[in-house]
Amino acid sequence: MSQQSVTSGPSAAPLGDPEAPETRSMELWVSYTLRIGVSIAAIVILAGVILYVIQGSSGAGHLQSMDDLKPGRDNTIDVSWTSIRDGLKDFQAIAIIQVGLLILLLTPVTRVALTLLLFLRDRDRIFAVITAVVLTILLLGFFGIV
Amino acid sequence: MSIELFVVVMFLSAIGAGMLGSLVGLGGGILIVPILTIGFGVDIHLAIGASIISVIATSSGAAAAFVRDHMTNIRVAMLLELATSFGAVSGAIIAAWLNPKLLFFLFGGILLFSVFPMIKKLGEEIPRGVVNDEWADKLRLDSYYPDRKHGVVHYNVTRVPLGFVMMYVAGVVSGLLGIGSGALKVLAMDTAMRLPIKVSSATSNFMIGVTAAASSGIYFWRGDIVPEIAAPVALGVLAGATLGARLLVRFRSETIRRIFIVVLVIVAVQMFLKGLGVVA
Repeated sequence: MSQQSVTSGPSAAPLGDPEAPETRSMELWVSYTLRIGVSIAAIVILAGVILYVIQGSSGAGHLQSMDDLKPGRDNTIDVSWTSIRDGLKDFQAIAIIQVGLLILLLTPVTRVALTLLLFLRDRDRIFAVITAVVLTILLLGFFGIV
Repeated sequence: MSIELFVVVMFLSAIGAGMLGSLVGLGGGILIVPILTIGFGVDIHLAIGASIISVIATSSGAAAAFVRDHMTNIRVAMLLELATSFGAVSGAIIAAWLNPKLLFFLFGGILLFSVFPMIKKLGEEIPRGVVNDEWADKLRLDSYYPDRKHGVVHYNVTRVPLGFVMMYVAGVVSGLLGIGSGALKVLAMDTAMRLPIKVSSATSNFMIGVTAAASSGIYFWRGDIVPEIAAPVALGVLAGATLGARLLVRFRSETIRRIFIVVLVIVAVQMFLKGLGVVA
């Protein structure tokens, strides 16, 4: 169907039409989800940064010199759920920043999960399947399984 | 240089990267990576980790506005994300075995390769005479977007299979280099599928976050995402992307194209020099 013909009244609006209520509703949901994810991540990271500055160079795991970022550095960092949990118990700035970064990284994942629910709600089978596959790959990649 | 100064410089650079990235559908990684490696001599693996953060922050920060304003084509995005996420995972798996110099060379080549079709299309505000292909009809991919100058612009979508293959390649590249490879995504939508440049940019922006997220876990748990770099990058890019998203709707398509071309050429040359070993 050519776009030029989409002037035939609201009842004839196809699902892909932005005026269609389900498309508009999906756009608003996605937009809110992204905004909320990004805001929470920013607040947590900022809190971590403030704590980092307060703790200064004595804080656990804080970078001591720019040389630690250069190629051939010998300070590979151990990052795991356990290291983050223990860090949070000790109120370490690094762990708080890492939690904020994880929230940021999880925002697109959440967005795709939400899109899947919305396609299911709209009974849009093809796109529900497409989105389900994307979400699966995303989760496998994210948790380091693939 | 002291770490404090480095963090402040990264924060300011990230604001610029977020603005530019949200305007032209790139993740800002193309600025963050050279600033870290060429500017500060940081290990390429850590620079890639930082650019993953930049890509996801640009994408999520700008897309909130683009999706609300109907600049993003969610259906096209979801379809193509299928191709890019498969590609991204394949790329991330082989990345650890590749030589950094080769990565730079590849990176530079990809960017340079994407400049020429862009120059050719400079005077085109809105694509004309595009007819939906069979896939676009079946999947209802055509849509419209609000343009300040032209009002509501209807657009069709063509050559969906070609776009799909280009997106898989874009996914492989982003998994390899940790960039969202927005340049290749914009190219695929612009050149193959003939979407309007602003829609391509906004839709690319929406997609790059997902592509990057697919490989982000690998980098995060490997320790390549260093808080001292990632925190200022995340905060700066979020601020910049929010600003940039407001500008996209106002700018003319040609302006977007020009910015895109300039950014690509500069960075491609930098990367080639690095790959050749001319710049340390």
